[in-house]
Amino acid sequence: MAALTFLLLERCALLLVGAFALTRVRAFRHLLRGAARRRWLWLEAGLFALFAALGSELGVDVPLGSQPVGAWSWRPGADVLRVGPDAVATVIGGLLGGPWIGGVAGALAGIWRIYMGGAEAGAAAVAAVLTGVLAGWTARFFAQEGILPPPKAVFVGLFAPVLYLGLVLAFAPAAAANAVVAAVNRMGLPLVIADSLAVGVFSAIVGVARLEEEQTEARAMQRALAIADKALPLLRWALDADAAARLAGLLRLEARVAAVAVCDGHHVLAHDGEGCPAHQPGTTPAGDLAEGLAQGVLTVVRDPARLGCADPDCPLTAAVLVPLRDGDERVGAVILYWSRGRVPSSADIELARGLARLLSREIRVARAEMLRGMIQEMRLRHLQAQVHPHFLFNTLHLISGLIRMDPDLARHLVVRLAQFLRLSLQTTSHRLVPLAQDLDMARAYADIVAARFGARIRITWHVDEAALDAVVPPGTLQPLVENSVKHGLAAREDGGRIDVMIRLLDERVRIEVRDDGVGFPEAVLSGETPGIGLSNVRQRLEALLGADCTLHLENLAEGGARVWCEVPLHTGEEVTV
Amino acid sequence: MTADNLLFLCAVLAGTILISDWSARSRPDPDRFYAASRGLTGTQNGLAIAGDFISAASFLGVSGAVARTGFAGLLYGASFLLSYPLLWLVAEAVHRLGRYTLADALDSVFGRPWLRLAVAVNTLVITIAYLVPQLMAAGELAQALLGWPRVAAILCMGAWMTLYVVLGGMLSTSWIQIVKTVLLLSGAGLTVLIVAGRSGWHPWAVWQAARGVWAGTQGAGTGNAWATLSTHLPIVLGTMGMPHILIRFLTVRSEPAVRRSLATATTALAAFYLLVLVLGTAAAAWGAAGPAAGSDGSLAVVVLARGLGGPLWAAYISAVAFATVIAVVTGLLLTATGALAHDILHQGFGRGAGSASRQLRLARLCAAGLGLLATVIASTAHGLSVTSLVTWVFVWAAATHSPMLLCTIYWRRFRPLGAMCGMVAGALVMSGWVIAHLQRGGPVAGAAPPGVWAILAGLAGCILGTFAADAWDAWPRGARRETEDAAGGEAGSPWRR
Repeated sequence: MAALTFLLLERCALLLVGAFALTRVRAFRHLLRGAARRRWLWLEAGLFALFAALGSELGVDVPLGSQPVGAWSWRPGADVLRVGPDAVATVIGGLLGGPWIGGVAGALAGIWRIYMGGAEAGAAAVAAVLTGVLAGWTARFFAQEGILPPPKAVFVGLFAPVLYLGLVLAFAPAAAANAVVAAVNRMGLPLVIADSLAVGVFSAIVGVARLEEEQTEARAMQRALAIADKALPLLRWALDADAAARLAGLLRLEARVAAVAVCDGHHVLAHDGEGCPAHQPGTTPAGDLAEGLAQGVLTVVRDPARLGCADPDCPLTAAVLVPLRDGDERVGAVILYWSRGRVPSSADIELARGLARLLSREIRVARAEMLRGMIQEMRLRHLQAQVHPHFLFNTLHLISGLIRMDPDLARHLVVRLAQFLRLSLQTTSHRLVPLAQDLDMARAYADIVAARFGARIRITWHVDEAALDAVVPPGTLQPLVENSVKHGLAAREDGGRIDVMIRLLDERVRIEVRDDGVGFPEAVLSGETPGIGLSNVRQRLEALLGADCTLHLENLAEGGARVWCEVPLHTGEEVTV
Repeated sequence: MTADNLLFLCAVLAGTILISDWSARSRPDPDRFYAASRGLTGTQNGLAIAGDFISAASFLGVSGAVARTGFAGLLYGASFLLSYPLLWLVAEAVHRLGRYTLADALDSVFGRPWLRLAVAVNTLVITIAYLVPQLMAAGELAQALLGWPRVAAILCMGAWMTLYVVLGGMLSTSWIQIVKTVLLLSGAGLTVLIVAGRSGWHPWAVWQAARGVWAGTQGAGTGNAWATLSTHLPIVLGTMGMPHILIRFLTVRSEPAVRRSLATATTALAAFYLLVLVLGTAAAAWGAAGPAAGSDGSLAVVVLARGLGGPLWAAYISAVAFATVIAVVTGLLLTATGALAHDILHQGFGRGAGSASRQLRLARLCAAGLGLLATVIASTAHGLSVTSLVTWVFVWAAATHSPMLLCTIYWRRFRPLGAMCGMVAGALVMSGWVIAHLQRGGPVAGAAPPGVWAILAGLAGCILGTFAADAWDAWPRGARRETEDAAGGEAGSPWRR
C-alpha cells in the first residue's frame, strides 16, 4: 500500500509540475484571474479538461486480480482500473470557475476517459462530471473567499476520490464484484491521500499565481497614482509648451523611461530625453503613434520600424502612447519611449493605463474648474452692465434743460458726468477697486443730483480717510446714494437729508447711507421684491467679498431708512487701477 | 484500528476543527457567538438544522431498527420526519421574538425574569440530558471502530467537541452541521447506489430478501397500540420543544429565510430517512443486522458498508457517523451554553450588564464547564440504553416546552403563570416516572415512558395556570396590589409584543 501511495504521489507531482510551469505563462495567468466573458469560460473549461485528461494519462494501472505494477502503459486493459490524479484538475476547475466550468471540464475529461477504456471507464466518467459540479457548488457555498486556502482545499479534495471509489463499487459488474472490492481496498487509501494533497498543492499554486497577478496590477497603479499626484500642478485645461516641457521632464524621471513626449491633438509640444530630431517639439508623431493619437486609444509599439522614425540610428525602439481625454474629447497624449531594444513590460503597460486614466481625470477637473470661473465672471459683468442707462438719460435731459438757463452749471454737470462715466467704466473692467475711487464716483453722482434737485437735498459726507484703502466691488456706494435719493426723498415735497458714513471699525470698514425719507416698503425689507440696484450690489458684495459682507436694509424708528454693509479693511487681493 | 479508519477519522476531525478555527479568527462578539450574527442564508440554515437534528440515534439507531424489525424502525423514521411539518407552527414566532435563546423569546413576550430563569433551567436539563446519550454513542462508536476503552473514548470525544464550541460558537457549529449534512446525505446516497448496483439494479430483490429476514423476527418489535402512541407522539411533538433546533431559527435575518430553512431541512430529512430506510432494508437483506452490529443493531450500517465495499468503505461510513455525532453535540453544547451564560448568569444574575468581551469570556467558560460536565456524566452513566435516554428527552421536551410554546403563540390570553405551571406539571410527571423507573432497577427494555400522560399534564398545567391567574386578577384590588409590588410585575395583560 505504501508503494502505491508513493507511486500515485509521484504521478501527482508530475501533474503539479506541469500546472506550475503553465502558471508561469502570462496568458494562462490572465485566465486564472476569473475572466467574466463567455468565450473565456469555454477556454478555461477546456484547459482544466486537458489537465484532467493528462491526469488520466499519468494514472497507475491497478489490475483487478493482482498487485499494481509501476510501469506506465499506453491504454489500460479491460480488467484494469486506471487511477490517477485526474480528479485534481476537475476539482480545481470547479472550485475556481463554479459548477458550469467544473461540469464541462468533468464531461470532457469523462469523454476522454471512456475513449481510453479500462474496467471502470463509465464510473470514472460519471464521477468526473459529478466531481466538477459538486466542487463548483462547494465554491459557491464558500463564496466569500475567492479561492479556497490550501488546507480547506485538501478537505474538499478528499471527497473527489471517495466519490470515484463509491461509483466504481456501484458500477462494478456482478461477476467481478469481489475482485473490484478487493482492488478498491488496495488502492483506495493511497488514492485519497495523493489526490487530496495534490488538490491542496494545486490550489496553492493557483493562489500564488493570482496573488502575483494582483500585486503587479496594484504596484503599477500605485506608481501611476504617485506620478499623477506630482503632475497635478502642471496640468492645465490646455497644455502650453512650457507646462508640457515640465510635465515631460517629470514623467521621464518618475516612469524611468528613455524619453517622454507630450503632445496636443496633433503636434509634439515637448520632448524630454533621448531621440533623433524627428521626435523634437513641433513635429508630428508618425507610424502607429499617429494612428493612436488620432483615435485617442492606448497604443503599444514594440517594433522600431513602426515608430515611424526615418533615422536608423535613432535610439528609441519602443513606445506606449497614453491618450489624454476629457470625456469623449481628445486633448492630447503622452508618449513613453524605450531605447536600445528594451520593450515595455506588462507592469509598464498597466502603469500607462493607470496614467491615462488619472491624468485624463485631472485634466477634466482642471477644465471644469476653469469653466466655473468663467461663468462666474460673465455673470458679474452682466450684473454690472445693468446699472446706468436710466440715470444717463435723466441726466442728459437735465443738462439739455440747463444749457439755456444756466450754462455754467450745465458745463459743470457735463464735466462731472464725464468723470462719473469714466469711473463707472471701471465697473466692467475690474472686479474690485479701492473705496476712495468708489467714493469719487459717488460724489460725482451726488453733484449731478444736487444740481438736479437743488436745495431739496442735502448730502453730508462723514468719511474716515484711513478707511479708504479698503476695496469694494466698483459701483457699490453710488447705487446706495441713488436709492436714497429716489426712494427716500424724491417722493417728499420738502426734500430731506442724506448721510453717507464710512467708518473704520478695527479691521473692518462700515459703509452706511441713511436718509430721512419714507423708508422701505415692507416687501423690499422682507426680500420679496428687492430693487434692482440694491440686489445687484448685494450679489456682487457676496460673490466677491463673502457672505458676511452682505448688504443690510433697515427702516429707522424715527423715520427714514438706512442701508449698510461691512467690508474687511485688508482682503489680501491685489487691486490694480 | 486500520489505516482507513484513522485516515478518514482524522480528515473529519481536522476538517471540522479547521472550520472552527476559521470562524474563531473573524471578529468575535456575543452576537456572533450565539447567533452567527444572523448571517446565514435560508438554505445554509436548513442544512444546518438537518445536521443539528439527525443524531447518531437517527442514522445508526433507525437504520439498525429497520434492519432488525422492519416496520417498527420505519415508524421511528416517520415520526422524526413528521415532527418537521409541526415546526412550521412555532419557527417564525421564535425567530421574531428571540435574540439568542429560547428563554429570550419567552421573555420578550412576558417580561418575567422568573419565567426566563425557569425556561433556561429547563433548556439546560433537556440539552444536557440529550448530550449524555450522544456522547455515549460517540464513545461506543469509538470503542467499536478504534478499539479504545469506553471511558477514554468518551472523555476524548467530549473534550474535542467542547473545543469546537469554545473556539467558534454558533458560526463554527453551523458550518460543522452543514458539512455533516452534506457528508451524511452523500455518504448514504453513495452507499444506496452501491446497494442498487450490487443487487444487479433490481431493488425489488433486496426488498424480497429483507422480508424473508423480518418474517423470522415478526412480532418482536411491535407492542400494543397505546405503547406505540406513547413512544411516537412525544417524538412528533417533542421536536418543536427542542431548544437546540429552535435557536437555529435565530441565525437567519428574515422570515422568508426561516421558511426556506424549514423547507430545506424538511427536504433533506425526507431524503435522509428514505435513504436510511433503504440502508436498513439492505442491511437486513445482506444479513448485516446480526450480532456483529452490536447489542441494539446500531452498527448495522457499518457492517453493511464493510460487506459492500470492504474496510475502506466501512471506515468512510464510520467517519460520517462521527461527523454526525460531532455536529449534534456541538449544537447541543452551544444551546446549553446560551441558557447558562446568557440567560441565567448574564441576564438573570448579571441583570444584562457587562461589556461584550466579558459576555464572550463568560460564554466560553460556561461552554468549557458544561462540556466537561456532560462528558463526565456520560462516562459514568453506563448501563443506560442510548435509545431509551433519547426517548425520555423527547418526552420531557414534548411535555414541558411544546404545550407552553403553542399556547404562547396561539392563545392571546395565555398568562406567564400558565407557562410556569405547564412546565412544572410536565416536568413533575416525567421526573416522577423516571425516578420510579430507575428505582425499579434500571431501564427495562420495552417499558414505554408515559408520553401521552406527560404531554396532557403539561397542557393542563398551561390552561389551569392561566385560569388561576385570571381568577387572581378578579380578586379585590387591595389584596392584589401587595403581591404585584412584591413580584415587581406589571398589571393588566402580559401580552406584550
